[in-house]
Amino acid sequence: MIIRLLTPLALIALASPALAAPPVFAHCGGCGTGGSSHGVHKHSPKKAKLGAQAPDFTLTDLSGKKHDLSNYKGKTVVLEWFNPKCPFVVAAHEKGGVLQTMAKDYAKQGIVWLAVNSGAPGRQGHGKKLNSKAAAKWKMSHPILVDESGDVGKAYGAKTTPHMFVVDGAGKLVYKGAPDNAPYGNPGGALKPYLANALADVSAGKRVRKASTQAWGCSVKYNR
Amino acid sequence: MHPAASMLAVGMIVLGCSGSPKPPEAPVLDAQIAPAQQVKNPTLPTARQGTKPNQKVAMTVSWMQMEPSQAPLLVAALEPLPEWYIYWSHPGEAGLPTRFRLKRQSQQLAHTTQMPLPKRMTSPGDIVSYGYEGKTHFFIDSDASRNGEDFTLRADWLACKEVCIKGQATIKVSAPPAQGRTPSKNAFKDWQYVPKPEAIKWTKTGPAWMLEMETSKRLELYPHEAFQLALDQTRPPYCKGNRCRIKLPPSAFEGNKSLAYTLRVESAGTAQGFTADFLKGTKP
Repeated sequence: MIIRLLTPLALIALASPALAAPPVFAHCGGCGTGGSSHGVHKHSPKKAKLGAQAPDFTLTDLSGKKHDLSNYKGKTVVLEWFNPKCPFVVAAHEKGGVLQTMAKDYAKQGIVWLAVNSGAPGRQGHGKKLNSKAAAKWKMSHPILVDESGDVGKAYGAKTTPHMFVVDGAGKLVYKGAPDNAPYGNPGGALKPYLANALADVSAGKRVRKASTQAWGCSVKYNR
Repeated sequence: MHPAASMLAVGMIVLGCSGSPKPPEAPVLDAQIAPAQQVKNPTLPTARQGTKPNQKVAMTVSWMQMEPSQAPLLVAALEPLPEWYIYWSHPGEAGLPTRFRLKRQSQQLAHTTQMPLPKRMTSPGDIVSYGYEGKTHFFIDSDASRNGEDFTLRADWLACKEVCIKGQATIKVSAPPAQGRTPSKNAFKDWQYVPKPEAIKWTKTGPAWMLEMETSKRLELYPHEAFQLALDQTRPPYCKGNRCRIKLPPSAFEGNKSLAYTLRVESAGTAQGFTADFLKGTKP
């Protein structure tokens, strides 16, 4: 059986001007109080890029405490995009899930772990009560930061929940992607603990060997 | 409709997911499908059409044979409820691939699945994914269809609307009967939309890679996983009109053995898909 539906392809090369080089942003440095009071700081990189300075931000957690990324300079920071109603997040945080104890375990090594909820009001997973309930149920030891404008999520390019980012002690983004290759705990082959491997590389002072992996999960519930 | 094609009815099953309080409407049944054949599923309660409260996707199966000399293909039709969608094998920036597994007793059976061209979807936050709305047919080729024994087919999907719900269905499949019936128009239409392998060459101009197809009015590029990661600094849509333009870092050429993608080519009111590997025949 042969079915050909389209005329043969005619592919030709196209000459075009070179693309402009991407803009370069200066690092915000210690602008925690001098930048914007909430969200991504004014003088910080607008978009996260692997190997470059991570966008600095200030966000408030569920208890009202402000977290400024630049205040954690010198420490490795894990950012975990979070939605307590996303089934992938539920599976990752419940018993046996990849994120059930990771934050607690790595806290012993001095690694800071911050969950970020970029869900907009009215969309799935938004709301203090809902997030607080999930944090209690899953015995989360790390704070959940509220980013309902989505500005920080978009600056990092967070697409899914859970989408993981690692910022090293120098403030550079060194990993982005999935916690592992096993959504719902099912790797469909050998388990690859991407995030744990990245953190091991950072702790050993090495370059992260696999710095970008395919994230899986629900889409982040942005407002626009 | 292709004159050589024949479709053999097997059975249907509707199973659901979890997480929604609203009962769905009963899915529309394919008139060619035989009466339901329910199988026991260890992870989901027994479901009956129209009675399980959280159904989001209905699955039916049938056999399709394009020519008498060729082995029949198992056709799994997945039908999300209106406004819900499921994902392609390469779901994009969010989601989960739709997957099929064949099993006889406890043994997994080797197979290949061909999926029709998906639709590109953009969610708030510029999140691009690829998937299917409405009834979609998936074509499964396996030796299991040639030796006359029954087996089970399991489908796993993520159904999304405002929220996402993981679902699955398992159906017992009987060997294909000797003679079948005419395939449904929709199944055959989806079969025509299954991308075909093609050699496609890009040309580098400055820091960008360019592709233009004279015969097409509109191109769309759907990167597979490795290619999508490599395209991190180029946002979709990658094509405008009949031209595509992308940027790739040097690491894309050093760290990958394959950069596969699917190209949707629209011309003269029809669309067709082609699968290709960017690295083949392309030098940095």
